[in-house]
Amino acid sequence: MPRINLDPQTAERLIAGRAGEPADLPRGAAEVASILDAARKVVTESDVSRMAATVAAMRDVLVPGGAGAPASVPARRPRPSPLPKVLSAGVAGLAVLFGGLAAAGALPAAAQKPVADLVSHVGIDLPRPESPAKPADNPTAAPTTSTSTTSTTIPVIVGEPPAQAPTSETTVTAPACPPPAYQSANGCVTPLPVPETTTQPPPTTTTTKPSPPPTTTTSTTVASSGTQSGRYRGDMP
Amino acid sequence: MALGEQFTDVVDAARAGAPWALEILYREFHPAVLAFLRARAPAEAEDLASDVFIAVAEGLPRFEGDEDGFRSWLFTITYRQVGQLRRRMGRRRTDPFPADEVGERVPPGDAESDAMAAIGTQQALDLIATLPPAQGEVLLLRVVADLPVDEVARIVNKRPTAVRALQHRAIVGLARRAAREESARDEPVKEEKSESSP
Repeated sequence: MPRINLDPQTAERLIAGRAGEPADLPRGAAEVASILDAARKVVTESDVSRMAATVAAMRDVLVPGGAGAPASVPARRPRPSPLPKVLSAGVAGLAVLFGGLAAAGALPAAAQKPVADLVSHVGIDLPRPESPAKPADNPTAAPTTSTSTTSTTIPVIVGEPPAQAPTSETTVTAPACPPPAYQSANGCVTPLPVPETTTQPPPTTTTTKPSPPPTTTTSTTVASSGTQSGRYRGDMP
Repeated sequence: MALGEQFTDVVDAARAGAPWALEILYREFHPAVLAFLRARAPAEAEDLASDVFIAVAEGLPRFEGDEDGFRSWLFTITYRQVGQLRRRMGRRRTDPFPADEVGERVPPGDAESDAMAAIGTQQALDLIATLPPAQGEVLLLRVVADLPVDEVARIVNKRPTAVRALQHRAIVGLARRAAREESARDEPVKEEKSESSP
């Protein structure tokens, strides 16, 4: 067995790769230098046989659930065209508009009659235009129709029986205003009815102090003031 | 080869899970890790190397430092992986290494210099693997991982003077082994010469 005599400084130079010329090295150092050079060379040999699997595993750790997904921005879904919605809305709007006009009989006569005939098959009765009367042929028809239209506001009055709303078919003179309505320049006007005496019943949930019975004064006040029936009671001074 | 100035960008992208950055880290550092593991645990080297890089991914969001710091951290993980494997498999002086393969792996040569110059990387690692574990690990961390004495001392939890002593003994041990191999190759030649002489 040959004697090996390598000092620590030589060992450090061999490890650092600064051994120098083999002739200048002590016995055995040249062989060690060759071994260490070969060991260093292994770090430059890349083994990529497992790289794909290892990198995928690393990515799973760093981005949970992101394996196989591209790191770039996810693809956008194509935005649907708004044309179908616009067309649907347009058709619906036109249907409502012409439906309303047809129901009110406000379509032109040339269109009202076909529409009325068409929808009559499904059980909807729409007004049909009569033979159109030209204003020049019947000059008195226009104001008569206007008067009848005005009278259609009458039924909103409480207690008044609904007036017969004349339609455009009405070409006769307006009927006389039924009493107590009276004829005015704007048509029939019905005076406001005098409200009946409204006596509020005493509250039933009174606990200690019984509510006083309603007096005649209260009833009169309510009747005269109208809007103040709930603010004053009979026990007030 | 080092990443140099692009190291910070690569690590930042790797933290975000960019495959290209993870591949760069793998290509740059995997060979050294695998070389270390082949010398310390040949049968488990490939699997352990994958475990090391997965552990790197787990700790990458918390890593702070430059490329030298990354290398030191990487081999700290590698060293601990070997230690865990050793504890799992029981304490053994060296990993199993078939004795009959030693002669086959040392390349036969016509001359000493040719034989030693032609030594392959795996043969070199195999020779280092025959050293006592502490010496072999210190030598691998110095040569393969290219770490300074202080970093090696931190990784193996020893003082720098102890590391220098270990690496010195490792070098002497390698020289003896190389001389032994040389003597073994010379014996047949001497025998032939003695037989041919009258």
